[in-house]
Amino acid sequence: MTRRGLRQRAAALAFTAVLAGAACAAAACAGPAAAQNVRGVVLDEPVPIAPFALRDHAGAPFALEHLRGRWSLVFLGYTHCPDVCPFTLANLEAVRAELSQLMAPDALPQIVFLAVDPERDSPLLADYVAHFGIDFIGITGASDEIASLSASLDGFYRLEKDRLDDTAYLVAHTAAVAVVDPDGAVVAKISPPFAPFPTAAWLNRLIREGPAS
Amino acid sequence: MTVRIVVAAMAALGSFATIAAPAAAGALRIEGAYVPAPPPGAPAALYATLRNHGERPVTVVGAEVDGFADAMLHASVHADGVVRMSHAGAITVLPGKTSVLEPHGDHLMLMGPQRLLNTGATVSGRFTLEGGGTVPFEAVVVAPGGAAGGRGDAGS
Repeated sequence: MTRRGLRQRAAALAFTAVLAGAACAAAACAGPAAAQNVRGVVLDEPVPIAPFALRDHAGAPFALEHLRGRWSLVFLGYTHCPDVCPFTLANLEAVRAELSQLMAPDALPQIVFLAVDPERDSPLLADYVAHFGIDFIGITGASDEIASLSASLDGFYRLEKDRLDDTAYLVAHTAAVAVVDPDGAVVAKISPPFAPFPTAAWLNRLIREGPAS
Repeated sequence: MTVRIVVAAMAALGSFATIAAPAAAGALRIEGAYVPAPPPGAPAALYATLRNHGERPVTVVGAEVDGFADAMLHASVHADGVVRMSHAGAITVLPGKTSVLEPHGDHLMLMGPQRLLNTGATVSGRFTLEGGGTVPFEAVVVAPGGAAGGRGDAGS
């Protein structure tokens, strides 16, 4: 129910953002809700992420505390995804590169890939995330912990196995990237495909001035 | 009557498809094919523009790609914020039209990579047409994220 409520609220905000964008286009304003080519949605209030226990691509524990103290961009996907996941991760690297022109290195958001298909993802995850960005963090683990973090992100995924021994199954999943603030709360979402420069400008303003700006 | 008998005889001999196929295969052009370099061991996607220069619809039903165990036509479908892939059984290109395989849309999924694909490498393969016949293509391997570094802006 909570998820549905959040989704509906996000949908309403998206509509508001589109309207604001249209209104601001002529005035060339550049606030988060008005940025051109950014399908970003700022939630009306931050949604705290519940505690979770996963591991990163190097095998080290990765928990809620690792999403605190800095901004994070969290994307949910799987390594056997040939189209949307690689494209989104490459986009995120392009956004990170643009952001590095706008802010100090220690202020840059960390980019986190939540791999929801641990059976197939675990062996590939380290090489997979490094392929897109040397600093990218891949996380995965027990299915109930993945489900917990996914739910906190208002995410959705489903392994579409036809049978137990199916190894070529597909995975349906949320396409949006969650923007997590240094308190470990989701404050915004960005829907792909996103243009790197305006998305970086949008995030730069969001990070510097906060969701209320 | 005579024509009908001849056609029936050709179909019965299995030769009708082999006569029709070269015309369809010759009508389809594969333009700008590229493969974003995939991570090691992960599947890849091939994107291209399929252009039908002929006078009849051409239907692509599959492909074989060198260096991969399997290739399958897929479509990424977005609905209510969720993306899911589905097997696209066939892609029909109407006469004088194009069909574009592109990120977040129709694509050729390349599975079971048998070698590492680095940027600048070439991938060879053949699209298989309904009724028989194949159309060869060569795709260039580009940096992750797509061709020419500007793909990230293309969808907006």
